[in-house]
Amino acid sequence: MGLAFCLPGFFGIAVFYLVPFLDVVRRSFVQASGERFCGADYYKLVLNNAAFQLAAKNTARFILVCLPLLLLLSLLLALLVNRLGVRLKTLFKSAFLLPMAIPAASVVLLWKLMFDVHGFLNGILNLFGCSAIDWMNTGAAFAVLVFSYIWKNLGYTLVLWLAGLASVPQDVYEAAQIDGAGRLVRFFKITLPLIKPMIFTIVVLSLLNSFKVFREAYLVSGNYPQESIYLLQHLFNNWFLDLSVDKMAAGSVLLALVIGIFVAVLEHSWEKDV
Amino acid sequence: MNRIGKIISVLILAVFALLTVAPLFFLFCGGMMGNGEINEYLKPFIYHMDGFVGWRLFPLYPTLRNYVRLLLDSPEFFRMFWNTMAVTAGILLGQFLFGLPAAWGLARYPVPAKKVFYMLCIVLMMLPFQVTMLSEYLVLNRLGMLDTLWSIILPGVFSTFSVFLMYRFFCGIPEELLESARIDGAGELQIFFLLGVPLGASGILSALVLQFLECFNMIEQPLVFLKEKSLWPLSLYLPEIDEKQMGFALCCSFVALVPPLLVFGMGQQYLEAGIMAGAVKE
Amino acid sequence: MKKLKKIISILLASMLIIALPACSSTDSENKPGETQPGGAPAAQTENAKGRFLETEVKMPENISHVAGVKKCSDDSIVVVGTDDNGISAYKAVSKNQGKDWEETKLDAENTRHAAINDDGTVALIGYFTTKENSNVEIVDKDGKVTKLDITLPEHQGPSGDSGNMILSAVFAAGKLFITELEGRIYELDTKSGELTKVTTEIGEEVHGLISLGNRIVLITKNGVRFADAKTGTLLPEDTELEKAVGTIENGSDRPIYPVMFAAAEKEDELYFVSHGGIFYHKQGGSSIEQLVNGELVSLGDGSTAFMEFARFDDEHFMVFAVDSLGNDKCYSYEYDADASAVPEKQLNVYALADSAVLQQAISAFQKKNPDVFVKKTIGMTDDNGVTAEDAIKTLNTEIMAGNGPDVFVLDGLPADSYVEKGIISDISSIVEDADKKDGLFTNITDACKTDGKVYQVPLRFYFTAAEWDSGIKEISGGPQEIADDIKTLKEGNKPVMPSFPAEMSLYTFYDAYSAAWKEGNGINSEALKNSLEAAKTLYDLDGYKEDERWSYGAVYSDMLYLGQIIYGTLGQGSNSRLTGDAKVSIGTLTGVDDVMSMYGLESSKAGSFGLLSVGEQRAFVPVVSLGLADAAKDNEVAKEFIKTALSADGQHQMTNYFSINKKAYENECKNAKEYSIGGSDGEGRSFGYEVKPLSEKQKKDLTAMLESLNTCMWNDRVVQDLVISEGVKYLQDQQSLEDTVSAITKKVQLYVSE
Repeated sequence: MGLAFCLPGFFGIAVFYLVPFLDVVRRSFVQASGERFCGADYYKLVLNNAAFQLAAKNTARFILVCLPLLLLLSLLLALLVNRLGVRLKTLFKSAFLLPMAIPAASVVLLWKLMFDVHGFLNGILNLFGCSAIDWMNTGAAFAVLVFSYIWKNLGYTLVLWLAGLASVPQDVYEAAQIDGAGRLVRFFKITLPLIKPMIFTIVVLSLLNSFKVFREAYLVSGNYPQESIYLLQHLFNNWFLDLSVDKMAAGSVLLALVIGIFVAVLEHSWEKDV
Repeated sequence: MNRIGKIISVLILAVFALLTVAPLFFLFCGGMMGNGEINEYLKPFIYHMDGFVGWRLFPLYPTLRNYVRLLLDSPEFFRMFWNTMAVTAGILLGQFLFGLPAAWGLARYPVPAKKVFYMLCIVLMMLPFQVTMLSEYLVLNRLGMLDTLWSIILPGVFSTFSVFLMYRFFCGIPEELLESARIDGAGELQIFFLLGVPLGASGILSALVLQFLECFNMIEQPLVFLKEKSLWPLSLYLPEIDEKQMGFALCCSFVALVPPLLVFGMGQQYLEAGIMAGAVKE
Repeated sequence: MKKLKKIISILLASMLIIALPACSSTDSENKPGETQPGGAPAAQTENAKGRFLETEVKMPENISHVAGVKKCSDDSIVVVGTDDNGISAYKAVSKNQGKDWEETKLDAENTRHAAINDDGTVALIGYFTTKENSNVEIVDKDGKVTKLDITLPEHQGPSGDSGNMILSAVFAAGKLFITELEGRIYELDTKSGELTKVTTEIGEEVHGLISLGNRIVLITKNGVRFADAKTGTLLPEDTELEKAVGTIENGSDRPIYPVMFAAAEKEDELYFVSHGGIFYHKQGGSSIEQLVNGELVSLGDGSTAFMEFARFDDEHFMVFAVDSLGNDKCYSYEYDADASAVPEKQLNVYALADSAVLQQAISAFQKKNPDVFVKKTIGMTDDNGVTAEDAIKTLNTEIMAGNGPDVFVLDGLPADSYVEKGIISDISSIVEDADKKDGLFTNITDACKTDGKVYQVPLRFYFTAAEWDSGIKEISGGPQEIADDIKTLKEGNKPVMPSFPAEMSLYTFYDAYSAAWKEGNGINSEALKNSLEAAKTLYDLDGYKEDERWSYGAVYSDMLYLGQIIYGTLGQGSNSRLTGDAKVSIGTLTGVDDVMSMYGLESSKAGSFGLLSVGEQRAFVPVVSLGLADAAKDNEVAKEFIKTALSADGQHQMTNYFSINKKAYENECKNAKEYSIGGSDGEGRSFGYEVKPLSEKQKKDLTAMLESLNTCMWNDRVVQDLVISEGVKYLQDQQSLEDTVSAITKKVQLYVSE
């Protein structure tokens, strides 16, 4: 019975996603021109490629900085919002969710105006006597990328946290309060353990969104952005422009493996906790 | 103390909210400015001149000219809008027909290799589009769908993202409910339509709303799969606008933002309830 | 469940409401040019027969410069014009659709423009009308010439010059109508010379008139409108047609336009010709039917302008046009029921950006091979905002899927990767054959070789040069040398260089010196640093502020890269030398015409010019480099296309840049025409000089210069984009030299290491 429900959907997924992915896996073993089988040559080539190493490092760094930052910040704001009345709660939630609805193209226009050397941000800094920074062409570009990711996904994550917080039974809190537990103690001893299972969903969705930030980065600063925001997607993109499909395929299979392992480990540890 | 704490938290939240709301306001005001006025403010950016871009809270000479030009004199805007609508409607309907039962089946029944498939779904949805682009193109080419809206709609219909999301929502429905229905003699289809869909409604809607936003943001797929420009969706309209007609560009951004905004306004409470419902069980 | 239903119905309803009007507007989106090749309805099968075929009609023997053409109601054609010297006027009449011409000499003085009436009366219009001389003559049907005394109202020009002029004149419904510089329409009495103002209530200035039977087409800066010639009233707007025709500009002193109209039997029908082809339209109707596809015939060349469009019947049309070289031509289009509706063979040509050179190559090929349809695909067009990367991504996907083009225009494409991956194949034999036939600049084709084989061959090329006042030291050599030499010319506040914007200076330096920055795969940062430093020295030399410099639009930068500039920046800069605002100019020399005007300028203010080089490296910039797709290497049509494009015949319509073909280059030098250039700068100082065909010595010098070019510039879009975008920041003081060099070096290293 279950299969009957699943089959049409599975079939479509297989045709439009699984088959293409398997084709990518196949391509990672053959030369782009001439279709010659090369074994693991391209994997070796890719792993030793300086650009790949830089891009992988940057992508890992970006995710390692972004995910905790987003999770913490949105949790903090969720805790603040949670204390408010219904009306204010809805108002702030709507406000935080707004960036999700702005099309990428408009975001790019805004970003250009914001972070240009002559842009708004430098204008504001100038009022305080700071000198202008070329945001997109110095190390600051990384911060801009992190900021834009958090700006866009704050609302979504915040709502997820709120859902978790709402599931904490009020009476447990009250009992703890009567026992004389302080605010911090209550948070760490009661709230955190109860919303811990949420982390898997939030991390998976935030990770997915972190790969989408490339679109803005690419539209704002092109194929060869400042070194620190040169991500794996930039590299894959450039490889494709150069028709190095073999290298791109090998690189993306490696990426898929890493994501797979990451998610598997995450889910495993999450299952143990519950 | 409590009162002060509350005021402080509202203030902190307001600062962050300002960052997320300001762009909307900026687009709206910019769209009401004439090109002369806006170019004056943005001169340093457009012409790389010394100084910094400026802005006014409200236009000095508000004008509806940009809106008139866009809504009355830009037939391609409407053509692209219609394309986006066709794509969106197709994808949403398709997800309702295929993605929904698949997520239900995966969540509620012992399907062989369930775990593997589930993991595969997550990995596939995270891979950047350009990686599988060529292979997807070859598949669509084989199916003869290139240069038709189907090349955008069908991959969207089977988006692994919505299956993942709906799956998690369906997991949230207590098994006891379904069991008692089975004892009462309900068939599996009945259970799906009369219990699964209504109970997961908020989840389904949230996935659909997110997909709707996604449709308004598609850039890569139509660029590669649609050679015929008359089929292009609205998301490709904005990048065509020159930096030197900024007022018009901002106006277009704002107008392009309205449909998702409306859907968002309508769907937000369901979206939110959906996210919550799904999340709570986790 | 109820709520869910409600939401979904709201969603769907709102979609429908928004979508419905949009839907109806898409139906009427039938733009000309989007129809099937040959104008055949899409439903027709490939074997369908019937197509209009083009033939060129001989022009009247004595007339080489047409002033006016008219197809009269008795189907005779009347042409009025002047001979080679532009002095003697002739009237030619053909009663058999251009097969034979009966020519008579006219004893008239004014030959700029002629309006011809159905009965054979001709109104000849000259230049400015003054009180003393109105410059208007009427020739009646018996050939009797009468001078007409008319007084046009005053007109004040933008620079204070007064004097009015008739822009265009047409006969419609037997009456003569004119427009003048103020943009008003008058009816002119051919007997008395009396002017009657025609009030059409159009509300905007009318710059041109076209006769259309009993109607007149009014050309304004916003598009076209129609008026009834009998009553002078404006006809209702025809939005569909106006949209199809667009705005019309005329860059000539004759009333020639990119669109021309012809009347049909019925009053509410018309035919028109544009670069898209020949079209039929019922006024007020929503459809525009394509009869002839411009891409298949000479009409497709975007630099063609039309003088007259005649319709004999539904199966025979005639077009009088001025081609890209300024020659007057007459084409006839006759329906051939036996020709296949769509050419049987198709050749796919891909270019990242469109260019006149490519279009001319296609036109030349199309003319020789009417049974082949050349389908041109352009990655980045004016009306789509697709970036080069997006376009290449799409192209690569198609190549990998086996849907790639047969012939590539490699400008801006990753040609080296295509060679390496076997996407394009060796065309050495085609190039050798072309060299044997007409002679090529083999120094250029050799410099474009990869591993001793020719994979890409440019149709045209150009190079960078410096021009300096006579009496000062010769400006030549590498970046530092010229910067040092030019620096010493600075005396007090007197400007030395034209006030070029940063991008333009950098493009010049890139064209001239980028070949010397290349080191193995990577970049020699020391050489790059020297060049940028030199560019900065020159940029800052005269202390111009950013807004005092010549403007340089973002659009122009794209165009410049993809080789679309009409004439080189050296000549533009040298005009500053003429007005005393510069002693030296450096920039690009982009064709024989450009060199001619350089010599013309030097005859007015003495100077000399020479090319920029680094040591023995003299760089050139290839334009429209063709590559043969490996997948099409057995495709004789694709090879034939490249062959034709390289041949002297194939290049004879091209005017921009230097021809790779020596015979075509010789012809260009030989056929060059004399003209004069005049203008005034911002401060009202005027200048002017005569441009003459090259003398034997000048030609010899130029040929030697062209033959001495031995290195292709660093032909890589990614590197060029990086250098220009980072370099601009350095020139404009936003970034230090060290940071700029390190940013470029790092990014190029990254690019190479990928």
